[in-house]
Amino acid sequence: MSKPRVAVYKMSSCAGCQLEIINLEPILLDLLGAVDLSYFVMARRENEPGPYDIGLVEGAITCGEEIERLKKARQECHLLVALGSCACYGGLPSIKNWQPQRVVENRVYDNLAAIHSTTAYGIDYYVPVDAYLKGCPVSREELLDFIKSTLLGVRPYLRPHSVCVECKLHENVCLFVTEKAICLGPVTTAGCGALCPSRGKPCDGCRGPANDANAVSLARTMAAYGLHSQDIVRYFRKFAGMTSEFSKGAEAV
Amino acid sequence: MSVAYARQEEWSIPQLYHLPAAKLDPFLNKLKENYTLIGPVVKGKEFVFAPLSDPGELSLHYQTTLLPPKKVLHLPFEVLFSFHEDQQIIETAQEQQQQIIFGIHPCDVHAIAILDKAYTAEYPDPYYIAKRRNTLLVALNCSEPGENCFCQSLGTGPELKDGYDLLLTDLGNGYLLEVGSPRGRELVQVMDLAPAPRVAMVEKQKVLDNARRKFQKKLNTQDLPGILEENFRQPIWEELMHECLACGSCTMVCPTCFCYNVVDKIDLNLKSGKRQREWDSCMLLEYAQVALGHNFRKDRDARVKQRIYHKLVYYEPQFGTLGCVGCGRCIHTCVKKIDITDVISRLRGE
Amino acid sequence: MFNPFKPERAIIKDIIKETTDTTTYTFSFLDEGVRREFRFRPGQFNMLTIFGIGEAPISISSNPAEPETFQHTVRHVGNVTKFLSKMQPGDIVGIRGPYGTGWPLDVLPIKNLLIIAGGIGLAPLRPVIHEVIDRRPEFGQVEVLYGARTPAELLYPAEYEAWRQAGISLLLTVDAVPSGTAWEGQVGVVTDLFRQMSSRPGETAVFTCGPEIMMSYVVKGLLARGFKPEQIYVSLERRMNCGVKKCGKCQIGPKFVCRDGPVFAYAELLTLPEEVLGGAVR
Repeated sequence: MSKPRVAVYKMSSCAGCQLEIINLEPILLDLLGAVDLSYFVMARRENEPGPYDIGLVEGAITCGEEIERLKKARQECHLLVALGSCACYGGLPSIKNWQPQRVVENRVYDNLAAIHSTTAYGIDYYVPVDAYLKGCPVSREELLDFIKSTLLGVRPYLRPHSVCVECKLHENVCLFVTEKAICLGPVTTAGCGALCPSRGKPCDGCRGPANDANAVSLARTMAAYGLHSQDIVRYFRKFAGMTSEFSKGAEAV
Repeated sequence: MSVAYARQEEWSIPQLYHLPAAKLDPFLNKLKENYTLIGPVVKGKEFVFAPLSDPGELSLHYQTTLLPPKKVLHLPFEVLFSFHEDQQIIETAQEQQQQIIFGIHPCDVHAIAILDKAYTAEYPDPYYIAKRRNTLLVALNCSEPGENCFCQSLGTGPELKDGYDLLLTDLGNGYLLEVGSPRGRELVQVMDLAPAPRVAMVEKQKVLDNARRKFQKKLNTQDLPGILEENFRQPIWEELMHECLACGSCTMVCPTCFCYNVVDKIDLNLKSGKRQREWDSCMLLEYAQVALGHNFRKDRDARVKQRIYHKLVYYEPQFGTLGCVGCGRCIHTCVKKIDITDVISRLRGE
Repeated sequence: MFNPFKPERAIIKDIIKETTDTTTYTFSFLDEGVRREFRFRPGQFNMLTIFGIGEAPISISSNPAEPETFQHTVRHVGNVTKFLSKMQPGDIVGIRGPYGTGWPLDVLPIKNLLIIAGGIGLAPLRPVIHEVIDRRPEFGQVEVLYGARTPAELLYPAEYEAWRQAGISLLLTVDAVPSGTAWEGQVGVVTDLFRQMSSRPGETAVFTCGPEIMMSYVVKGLLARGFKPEQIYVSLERRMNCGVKKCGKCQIGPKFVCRDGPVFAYAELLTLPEEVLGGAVR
């Protein structure tokens, strides 16, 4: 059996998720024994044309040119994967979505003539997506589990529950309960190993809504902790404000 | 289960000793020579059970810990076995160094007794038993119950009656040390301790009476199964469905929860790997989901009920005991402050 | 100490494709001692491991009189079962079991037997049919009502003749007949067969297995026809990670489906606070 061919595409993003592929360094050679990274502009001088078995798309879609590239990627890949929260939900770029496009563009660019940006969406707004690897950046371990599962032709085990589960498994001091800090862990998908809370930093919600996330109830507690409704909105719209669960949280108070 | 505890009167030699405060560290150092010592230590503003590298780390004035000491018997993550490329199964070594859980509170001792039933009945769990057999319990009666504690209502504290190897009670100037098992007696013999004066038992009761007055929460257990069965369809459950975050924390910190999930981790060669288990929770949506996607507890209120009914109704027919020991961890850890004692009083119309 | 979580290695001896998504596998344990000691009762299940993929509970679907080679009829819907579809005779899997109580064939003084199955639900009932055939004189009227989505999805059609020759009345129905398919039998849900069945409540035990929604209608229909909750037995599907009352996933009230079931008297389910067989009359 020939090795599956993998393509990595970049849309509107910081390239941090692609970097995580390179950060697999200790096992990268083993990984290359299992798959061909055929198209990976960040890491290869020469790139091979499609079709590919697996397409990893990083970034939100924020302009017409990206929509076209995304559709081409969908055509040339057997499996298309949203790599990271931007591709999953719009991610950080989606914070612009609650202001008029022109206002946002004006703030960033001097010459607006060549700028035609659209609402920032995750890639499944435009094309069917086979798998979602959440996180800002993606979890290397989940990425690897995904690749292994794909090679085996089975569904990967990606934690669907809240970050709280991993926090408890690691016996972290609860930042919400003990430190009275605002933490989105109770409504955010685990799989990061409770990376931030394990280092004393509250969860920012970068991995988007967990299974059965009750963002409305959490938002009420955030308000009870003295948070202004505008701040609650910012919390829920930071990474995954375009999801129905987190938008309910943003609109709850 | 081969772990045997006996009530004190069954032992003929003196069972009561006085452990002066100054002798605690030397005692711990002596124990450390032959045992891994696990005790409450400070973690931020909380306490956790952790291996003691230095007796000075031990914080016996703790009220509760983040995770129960269950975590050293039923590990949060545990490799069940590994498998090789030729599908040979290599079992994880089940040998275990002798360990002492030092300073475990009565509620947690009771919880371990419940886990013993769940894990050693029919189809004994070899991973649990290997650790349990090599674990001694040096318990500490509670003199300062925490704000969420309600063990007194369930008869699981603040005083421990049995289930320990040694039992400490803090009498201020030192500890009353009671022996509860032959293995506990061996532990005491490492030190040259004086028998406790008779008055120590009176002082102990004073300490415990004082503790008993400090409980802020209670759970009325009278006809609990009846009350809950009558109220399976009650507006309070819908209210809790809207409140609960379904984050799973309450069950992850519970000392009697035994559920786990199993995941195979395969190596990049796609042939070898390991099978491991980790704690799971009935509060999580995926818990009751089967292959084709059907979920038997899709609604959050069904899961909230499952937790509370399991603890307060179903453990009894399963294991002959209530499933709650009143440690209060689920209340403390809940961001929404959902309080099992409050739920029950409301169901009772109190 | 015995490790109930450690699978025994078993070899795939034979593969029979039943339908587009369902296959029957014949297994045999590699270890001779294990192979000789293995016994099971109709309705029991095994935990089937594919190393690196996971483990799944699968009911045993072959004759208990031949335990040295046993069969599992598997619908390829989850990770383990989908991966199994790619395996060949001679490949190795892990198996541990058998678990669960099984159908109460030896427990009850059963005279007449009514078996009602839907789709893959016939798999755990096939050992009952095989055992009934082997012990035919002990039973009176035995009737099987079986429904599948289409004629092509009926399981074990090659055996129907033998069942009928053993004096088992077999009534079939399908939900739909795709164009170009020859089918002269009944079209409709399995409960539609109630009108044709000759089974009556007296001295009859009912064993049923299928999707829960089907079973709930079956139970409802039977109760309306005068059957008692005590004489109806159902086999439940729940999430199971251990099979041995440890992982907790399969609990319904105080019951562990893996150990107290998967077969339950319907009367027993009525005592549970959680509603099982959704919507069935309580």
